[in-house]
Amino acid sequence: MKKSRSALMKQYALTIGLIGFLCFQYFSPTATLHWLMNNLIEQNLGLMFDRSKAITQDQKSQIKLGSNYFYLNTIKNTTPEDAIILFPDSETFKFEHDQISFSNEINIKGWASYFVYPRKIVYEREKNVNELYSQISHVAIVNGWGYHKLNYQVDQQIPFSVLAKNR
Amino acid sequence: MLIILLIFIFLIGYLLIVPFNLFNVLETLGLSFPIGLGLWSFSLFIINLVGIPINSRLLCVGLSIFLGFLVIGASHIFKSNAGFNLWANALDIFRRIRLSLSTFVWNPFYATSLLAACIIIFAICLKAQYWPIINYDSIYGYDFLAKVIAHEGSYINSIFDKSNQLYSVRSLYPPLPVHGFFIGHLFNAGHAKFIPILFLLSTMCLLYGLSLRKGHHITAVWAVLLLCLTPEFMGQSALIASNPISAFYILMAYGLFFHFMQDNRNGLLYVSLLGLSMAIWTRTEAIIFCVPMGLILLRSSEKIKRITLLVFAALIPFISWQLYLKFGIQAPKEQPILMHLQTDFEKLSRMLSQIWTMVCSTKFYAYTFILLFLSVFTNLIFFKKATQLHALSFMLILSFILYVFVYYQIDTDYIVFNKSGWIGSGFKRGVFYFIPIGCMYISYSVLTRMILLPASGFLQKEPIGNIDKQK
Repeated sequence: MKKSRSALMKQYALTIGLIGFLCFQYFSPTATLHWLMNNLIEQNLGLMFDRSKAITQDQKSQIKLGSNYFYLNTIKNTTPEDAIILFPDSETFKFEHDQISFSNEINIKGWASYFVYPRKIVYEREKNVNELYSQISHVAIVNGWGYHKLNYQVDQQIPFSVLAKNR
Repeated sequence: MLIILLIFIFLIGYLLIVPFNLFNVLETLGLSFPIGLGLWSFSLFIINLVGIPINSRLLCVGLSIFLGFLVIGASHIFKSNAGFNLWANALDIFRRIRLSLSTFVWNPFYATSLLAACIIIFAICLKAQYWPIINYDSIYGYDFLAKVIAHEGSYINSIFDKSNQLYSVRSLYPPLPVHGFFIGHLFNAGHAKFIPILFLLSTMCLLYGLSLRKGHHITAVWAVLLLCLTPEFMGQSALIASNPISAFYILMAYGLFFHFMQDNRNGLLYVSLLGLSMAIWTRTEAIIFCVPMGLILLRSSEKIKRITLLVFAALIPFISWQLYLKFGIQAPKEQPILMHLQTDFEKLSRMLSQIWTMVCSTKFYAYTFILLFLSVFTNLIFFKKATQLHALSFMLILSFILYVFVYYQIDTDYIVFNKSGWIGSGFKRGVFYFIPIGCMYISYSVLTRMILLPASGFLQKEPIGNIDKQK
């Protein structure tokens, strides 16, 4: 009886130790448990289970990837699958507009192409090295850049769009 | 149809390992899907190699059914002594889980640890499935390639088009993870996060099962909890990445090899070698893990046969993929690895210092590596009493040294230490190889048995480190 009681006491002591360790993890800003309780459960579960806050897959991507996703998704939705799209150089993307600011990933072809596939992207900087440059079918209008690449005049020039190269 | 394919892939692995009659319930659950996916991926690769487009749902499901029958046929040819009563086996598995849990669930330490682990795993799975793919490595790597294969039907596709190259280094890794992620795109599942989720669940099941095999429920749940509390591993497990997948296969290879050394059952060796093959079929650098296994097999009986099997298990996936890169994809030879041995001790010193800072960082790995180092240290102190752990200690130490050596041979000076550098990025996730198997090692270590088991009210008077007698 005495032995089993002692074993029980040890078990409870160990469990209290474990709970103490888990509490320490909870208050440690870089621990899994802290992140889990403060970020994942508090912020994400509200979104996941609150029907009034239900969002689409596109909205989720936009929350996480910002303007890059919004812009690339717009291009995907407004161009045919076989489109070859001219993108400006990184300097044009760097210019901060009132509403839209891009992160550097949009200048990486492999990254940007993921969102518009099977459409192809050609950057202005590839003018002399990529043979697809001569086959461009669309121009990405970024911060007002790109209208001069079109074979026709556009009366109302908006800062962000994607337009066919030929009318 | 997606669910049907996943079930069939699970069944391929299940039908392969059940006839061995060597695995406990959780090992069976943990091994089935990854083994099935590995075999399915290799078959898909061969089908693609002969020129058949693989972006057909019917082909993918049909292939899984065919492989299932092939495995059943093979087990009959090799006269397996276990029957193939699938339902009886499945029912038996659930009965054994219930019995097993009912014995221990009332232990407060066990219940708290299990509850904490389950909450963490559940939350990670939920998060993974909810959010779309956002990490750079997936978008400009694995998932992009998977998306293109699902559209074009071939591994050699427009990503590798010489006039408009879109690939990154990650597109040149072996195809097992990409074939897994490809399923998501083929069946329009939105994203393929169910693959990392299934691997995470498999890792947890296998870790528990392997730790329980010659251990105790208390130490097994401790191993699982320790893995759950490793932030970087759990964070990456919710993303599309190849590191947690290869970490699973190394757990499978080394964990089963460790038990093969104890029990001398050939079945354990065969499945362990299958794990090694699949680890190499996930990331080619995993070939370094065959070296410690080979050195240990040199001292075993039937060494010629076993080492031949090891060589085949390691070289078939490695050479197949290297040949495919060279003649199929025709990837450029821009390897950052130096082929001659360096003698730059300053570089070595800088690199080791960065590695030490990294692995001891509780921000990335909590206390997992610190406990692993302590476990190795105590096992060395109790060298004569922990004889069963010698082989595993040797394997872990040697493979870690080899892994560090691979980074030493990279053509860089390691002067700058930042999060996008070789250590801050590649090595940080590369050491995942050692985390699940390290947790199993910790659960068997003298340290755990000296402190955790007696304190939890079990087996106080058992000899330290003698794992066979402690069962």
